[in-house]
Amino acid sequence: MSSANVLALQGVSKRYGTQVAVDALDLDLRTGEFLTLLGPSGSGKTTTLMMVAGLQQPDAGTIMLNGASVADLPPYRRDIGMVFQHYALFPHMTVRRNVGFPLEMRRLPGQEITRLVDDALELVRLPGLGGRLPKELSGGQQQRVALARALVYRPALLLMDEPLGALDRKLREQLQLEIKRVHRERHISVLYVTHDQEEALTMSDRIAVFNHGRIEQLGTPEELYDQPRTRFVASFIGDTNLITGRAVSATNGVCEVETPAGRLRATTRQAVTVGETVTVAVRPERVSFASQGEGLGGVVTDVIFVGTARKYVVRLADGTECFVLRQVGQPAVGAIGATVQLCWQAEHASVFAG
Amino acid sequence: MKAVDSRTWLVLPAVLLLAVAFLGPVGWLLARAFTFPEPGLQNFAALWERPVYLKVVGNTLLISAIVTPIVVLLAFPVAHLMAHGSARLRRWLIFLVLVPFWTSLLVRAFATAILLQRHGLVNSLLLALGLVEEPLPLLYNFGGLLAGCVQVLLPFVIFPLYSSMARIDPAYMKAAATLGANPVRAFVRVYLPLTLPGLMTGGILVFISTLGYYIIPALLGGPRQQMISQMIQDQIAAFGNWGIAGALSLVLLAVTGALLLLLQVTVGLKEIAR
Amino acid sequence: MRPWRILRAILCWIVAVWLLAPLVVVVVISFSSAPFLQFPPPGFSMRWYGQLFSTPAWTNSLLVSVEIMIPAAAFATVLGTAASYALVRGRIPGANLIMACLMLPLIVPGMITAAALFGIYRGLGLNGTLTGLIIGHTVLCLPYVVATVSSALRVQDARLEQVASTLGAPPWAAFWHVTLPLILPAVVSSLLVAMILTFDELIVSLFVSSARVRPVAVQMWSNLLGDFDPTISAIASVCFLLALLVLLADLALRAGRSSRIA
Repeated sequence: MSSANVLALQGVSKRYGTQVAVDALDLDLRTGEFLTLLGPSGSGKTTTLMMVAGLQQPDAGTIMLNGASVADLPPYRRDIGMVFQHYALFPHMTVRRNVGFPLEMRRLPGQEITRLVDDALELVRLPGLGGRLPKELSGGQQQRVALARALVYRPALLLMDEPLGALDRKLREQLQLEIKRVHRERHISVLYVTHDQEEALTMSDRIAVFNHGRIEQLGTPEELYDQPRTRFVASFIGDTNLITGRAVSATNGVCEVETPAGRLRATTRQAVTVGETVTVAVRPERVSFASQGEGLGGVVTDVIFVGTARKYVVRLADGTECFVLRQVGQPAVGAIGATVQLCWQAEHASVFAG
Repeated sequence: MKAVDSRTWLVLPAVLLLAVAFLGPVGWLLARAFTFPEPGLQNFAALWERPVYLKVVGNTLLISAIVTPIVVLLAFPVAHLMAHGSARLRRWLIFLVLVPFWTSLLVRAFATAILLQRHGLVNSLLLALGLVEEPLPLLYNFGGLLAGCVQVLLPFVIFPLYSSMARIDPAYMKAAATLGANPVRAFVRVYLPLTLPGLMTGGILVFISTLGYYIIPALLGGPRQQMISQMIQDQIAAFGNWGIAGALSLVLLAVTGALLLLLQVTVGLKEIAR
Repeated sequence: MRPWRILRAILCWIVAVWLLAPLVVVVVISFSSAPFLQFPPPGFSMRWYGQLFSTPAWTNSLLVSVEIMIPAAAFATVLGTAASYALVRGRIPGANLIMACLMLPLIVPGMITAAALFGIYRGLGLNGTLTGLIIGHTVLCLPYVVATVSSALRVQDARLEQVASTLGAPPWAAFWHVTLPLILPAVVSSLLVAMILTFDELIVSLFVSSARVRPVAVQMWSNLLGDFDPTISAIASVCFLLALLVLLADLALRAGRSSRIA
């Protein structure tokens, strides 16, 4: 399968002094895939990207680009394009010259450069702005120029380091769609870094969730969302309710957990020993209100209207707050102060040790 | 990384030039203090024992010590106006201070000398105003030296001082006022201490510069104001006495170095007055 | 606060006069028709300028000054820029120490540098030569170039070169196309400063020059120690004008620099 992988990392490690930034990482990126490295700051995702780019050197492990090791190749000899968070357009060059710069470096003839630059500007929907200077452009436009510049020479791999982090929300969402479109049209392989899980879910074919230099889980957005393998992944992606309790039984992948508010069931994602303390993670939209007697008991302390749904804040017997998201179409359940019972299906909840 | 390695070599030509055309020769000169005419410490003994040398060294220190506070005192109001006046005034003031700053030392010393002559402008004015009956001797004495030093050194204090003052948050003075301090107390207890980095930088720069001066004392001062640099030149040109010249240079450098150390310790040497 | 404001205004005026009056007087006297330095001058005349540009001693010294100025300023700028680039962008151990050493010619009193060079040159036969003067002046200008250019390099975003690298530019191409254009104002500014510095330099020149190879500053000096003759005021005015022009050019450069990276 390695011929279908544009990028392969094996055992890649990097440390800064005594701190481990990246810990024995294995990662494959398939050709044409949009893979996101997601995690909080300091989790090693940017360091990994930098090592792929050649701007930092790994202490151990191999990095293969299109089957060949890039160990002694400086960035300018690797077949990559990179987009940075802060635009990094050359301030003294026009848009045209910026985009044409990599082609200039590759000694392409002038006419060819003009053609490719026009093409690239068309791709990012900025055809008329060739003569402007970066400071005359808006943030969104600058980032699109940066994208055009990184793609104009058709690199094998496009690296993006939190490119939308400096933009406001609306612009960010707009550009996310732009980037996805460009990805589809050109079938480029993209390695994307972000700390914004919503962004990752929107754009990626697969996501690698980073924590303390390791990948906690690698999978499609749906897999990460519905079947988180660790507590970290469960809480990092989307909203989650976390309820602590004691494992009472664990059979056939289903675990029964005893809590002060009642007994509940969840799917095991990690090895769980009976009797130990565990945490159950369940998404607010998967929680339903049950009839008397079943599930967990609690009191509604707040109801928040969020447009398409209502968010109920329920305080359980042990003081934990649980959020329930209920679509507006469904009948309203109870007002503040009402006693309710919460339940869910075992396959929609995950249980983790600790 | 390859890129880093290749760039390192770029520093070599400058460093080589520095080593060969500066560090080497200066080191050689300082070494002469210990080796000319014979190895030993007799040059330093001579410096200590012969009154003429001691006098010049002491004189130099004294002159620097007198010039420094005067320049600082005069610089203060200008820097203050620059920092707290209108933007337009600031631009003019900066220009006003930059122009002499960029003009050569020699031209400015010469210009000052013209003004201070017996029949120069200053004396003419004093006579015309009836303040004196005879032209005052303003040249070839301490007065002339002082006038020249102030002329030349003012920009060296004004800029760092202005820099310090411009950074003071006006909120501090307002806070002092609301806390009950009258303007004078607020100034002494709050403002002044905040200008200390600029004051120290400017003051030490002036002191160091004055110590090493040659042109100004030679042109504007009298025989009793002879300073170390003049003596060094004398020893070499007139007597070929490289040993004493080296020893004097060493003393001068030592004092300069000590003062810079003081500056580094109190303020930090990131001050490159551009 | 009023008494302070009045006092401040008075002191500022005193300083203003003290700083500018001498220069103004020099320029005015240079146009005087009197053969001695009288102020106010009795009449207007250009004779001192005429004398300046017709006396061989003066014209030769002007030539020598230019012959020193151009190579010295050029070398200092090139060497200084290269060194700054290596020190700020490269990863040289002890970079701070090296930078401090490069500043030394600024800190060491001129007389010591002059005496040292004179002494060494004696053995090498470099006294009284253009080469000796050029070398000495280059060393003296180096700190200014290093200070200015390294300061500009620090302000500039180091990532731009990384970006260029990912786009396929080898290090020298990244420097030439990306870094140099952005630090050009600083480089040109330091070139101008270096030129003015060597033109005005006296102390090292005093030691190293001879009767035949003698820059303007030394010629002025020997003239001054003799008699104050208004020709001196003419050349002094020329120096002053030069300084003014360079100052204005530098200010224009700085204004251009800040508008570039808005």
